[in-house]
Amino acid sequence: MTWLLQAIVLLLSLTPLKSVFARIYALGVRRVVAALASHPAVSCILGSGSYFENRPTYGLSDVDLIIVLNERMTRADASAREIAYIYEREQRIFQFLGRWPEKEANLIYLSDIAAGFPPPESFRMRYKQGTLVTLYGEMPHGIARGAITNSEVISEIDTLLRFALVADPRYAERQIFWKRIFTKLIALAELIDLRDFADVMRKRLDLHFLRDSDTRVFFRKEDPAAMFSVQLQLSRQIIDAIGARHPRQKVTLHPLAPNGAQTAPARESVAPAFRREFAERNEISFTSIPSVPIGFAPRMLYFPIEGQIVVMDLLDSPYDGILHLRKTIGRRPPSDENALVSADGFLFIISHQPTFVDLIPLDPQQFANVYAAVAGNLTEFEASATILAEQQAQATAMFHALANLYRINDQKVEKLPHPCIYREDEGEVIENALRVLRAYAAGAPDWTLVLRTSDLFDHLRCKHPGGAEFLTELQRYQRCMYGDFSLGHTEANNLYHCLHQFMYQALTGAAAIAVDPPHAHLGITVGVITRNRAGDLAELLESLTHQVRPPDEVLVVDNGSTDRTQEVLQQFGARLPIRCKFLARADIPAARNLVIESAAHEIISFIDDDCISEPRWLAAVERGFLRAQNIGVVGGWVHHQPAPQRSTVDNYYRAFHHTKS
Amino acid sequence: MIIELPLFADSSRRNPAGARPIRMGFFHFSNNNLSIRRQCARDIGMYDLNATKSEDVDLCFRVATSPTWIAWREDDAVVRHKGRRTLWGLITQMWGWGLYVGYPYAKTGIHGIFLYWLNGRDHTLVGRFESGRFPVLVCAFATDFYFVNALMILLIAALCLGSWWLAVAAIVGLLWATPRYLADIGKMQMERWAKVKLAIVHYATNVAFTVAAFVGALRHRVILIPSSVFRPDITRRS
Repeated sequence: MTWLLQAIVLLLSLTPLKSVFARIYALGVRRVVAALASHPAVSCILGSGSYFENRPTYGLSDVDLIIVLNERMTRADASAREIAYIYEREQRIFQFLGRWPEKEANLIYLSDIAAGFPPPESFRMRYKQGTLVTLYGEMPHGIARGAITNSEVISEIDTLLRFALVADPRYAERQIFWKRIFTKLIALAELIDLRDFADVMRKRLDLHFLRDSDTRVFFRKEDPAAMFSVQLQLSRQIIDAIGARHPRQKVTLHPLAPNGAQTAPARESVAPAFRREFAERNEISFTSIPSVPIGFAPRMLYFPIEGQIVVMDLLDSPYDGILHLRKTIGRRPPSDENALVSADGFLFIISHQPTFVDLIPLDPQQFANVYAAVAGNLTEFEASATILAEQQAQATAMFHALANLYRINDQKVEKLPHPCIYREDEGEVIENALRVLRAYAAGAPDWTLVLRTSDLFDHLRCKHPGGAEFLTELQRYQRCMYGDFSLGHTEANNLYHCLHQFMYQALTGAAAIAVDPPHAHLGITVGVITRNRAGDLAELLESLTHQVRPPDEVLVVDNGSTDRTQEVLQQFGARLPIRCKFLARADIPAARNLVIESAAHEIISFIDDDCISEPRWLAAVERGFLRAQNIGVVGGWVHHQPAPQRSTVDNYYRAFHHTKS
Repeated sequence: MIIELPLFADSSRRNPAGARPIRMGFFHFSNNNLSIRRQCARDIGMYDLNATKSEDVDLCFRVATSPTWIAWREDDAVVRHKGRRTLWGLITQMWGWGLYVGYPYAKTGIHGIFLYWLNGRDHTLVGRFESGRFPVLVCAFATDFYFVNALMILLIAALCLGSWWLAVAAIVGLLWATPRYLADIGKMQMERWAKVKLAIVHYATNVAFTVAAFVGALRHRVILIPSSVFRPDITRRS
């Protein structure tokens, strides 16, 4: 359908109707810019691509908008979703704008840049080249400085490879698609002063279509597998040529494992869960390597510190093989199972995202250590000294930016306009911090190779004695999270704050690190409002005596009971710090306010008299409040306490009112 | 149980961060497991003495809309609740909740129309019209429960009128909506007969709750078609 529309527009624009299309394009751009500009998060909108360079081909032109979001908006914010919504509403009418999923990378967050993160490579390059056109607002100044670096060009080449692989196969079957890719590749080669190479590329017989006009090329088909192989080969040649210009530098990593045997590459074949699906067609050879860091900047945190990375060597044609792999993995339920794919000796990360299967190309210059690891050498690799220096500079900037984020988010949760209830996956927070610390240790000046989490903890304790106590507790906590209790339980409740403190000092290379004690105490009053439920109340108070973290005070408001409530309270007087207040009127909100005002402590935990507390209830509440100063309310889950006899009502509560029975 | 409320939308554009085209429903912590910092309680103005039986909804609502304080879910903070033991106790409990749930809606002071579509755990705001000059707040949550009821009424009406085509259309609609409505119960692991009884109780409580909420909200000049009871979000760290 889109093809037909494009074909019609393309043919008609050869006639005098061209001026009509020029008007439609101008109207569409004006409308979408106006719609986007009305969103308060948008600080400026930039245009890039052939349309804005005044050489449009109607029907085919790239109308590429770059949307810059102002500093108040962070990635956690809902702005991105709203902007996608606004964009798609306009795009439905003006199809030439291109679909949003392809444009998502064009969102630039000034908040990230303010924190110190480098903007995306493609944006940096276009910014430095000065090819961006301001459509709304003011172009931000000083985002990227200096000449275009080798790493930027190489990253762009990687982006083109990714683009060819994740594009819709229907587009990839058309010659125009490949003309675009190779034109960009040639432009990159020229940018880096490889003119001879660019000329050779232009003269290649299989790329003859580069000389033909867009209109002619549009109606031709092309074999994507052959084209991708050519792209891969040429990309590799350009990258190697860039690498060969500078002196090579040999890097030796120091393995942290206690014995050398740990670092020997494991060449045994492993069995990823999806291996069975490839069993019949003998097109992939499976091997595995120990999990090494991917490059030295903290951005490729796809693999856990421990264990093995599966390497899938495609024996078939790279394009078909990868497409088949994407399809097979896409059919599986989403998981964290990422792997490396080797196609004609070029490595990719294949990663199963919630909605699609992504491929991240790893070039042999920036990720030389991964290539060395796949070749069997974990501790030594060689790379261009210039590229290594660029990598290090970028890594340092990113570590500083991450440190900034940790400092900003210490003891404070940023209030966003959307969520009503906040929650964080602790496993993810800790695991992510550890992967960042591993990447930090892998680069200069440490140059260490960490293959186990316990080694990382030992290394950090050794390096930062000031944080040793915290690190030990964190390690225990992390082990327990995965069900390994060999290091014992931890009752440390201030780990979240300590982690932030530790990270912002460690990532900026502080000489001596000071971290607060991992245990902290907040006074907690348990508030109970009761009326004529002496039996239930006794069960509740009994459960409160089993709290791992005992309550500092139990304040019971008797809302006019006439049964043995007072007797029960006296019974528990010796075992719990009980205080009782009376409120003759049966008025629950007033009773709750009475508890808040007369409680001896800052935190008031309400529990109803027909509930039973789980032993870790108060410990969890305390941990919740310690996470940040601006957490005002902490709640959890309400499970069902099954009745002595199963009944339909009991089933009802189990199914619809409570989270678990 | 999950009760949904529309959030404020700052249509006057005074606060740039507050003006958003997309708004989501509102979840609250139940009073039987709610901890509060005293400073927060004082800042947001303590419990509302008029918010009988919906004081927790009201409190969490004010926390969600306050500029600084936030509500946090801690996965390990767990209590066990006994609930009512008899069917009559359950129905009166739902009726009671329903009657008073309109108050926090009215208290928001918003006037306009909010339409939500609740598809499983996705809560989508279908449409919103907000205006201070509009006389009332209309808040409707479309769920499978309402579709089933509307189609049943349509079927009965069609049979009474003798319109066979309409009846066939209603039956086709029911064949689509009923399995969706019963999907939560279908996933439960219990005998067939127990499931049937559960479906009946579920339907009865839904009727009690939605009717009570509709009637109760009218007292506060709010036209409320509340979310029927569906399975709460049970995705948590294992």
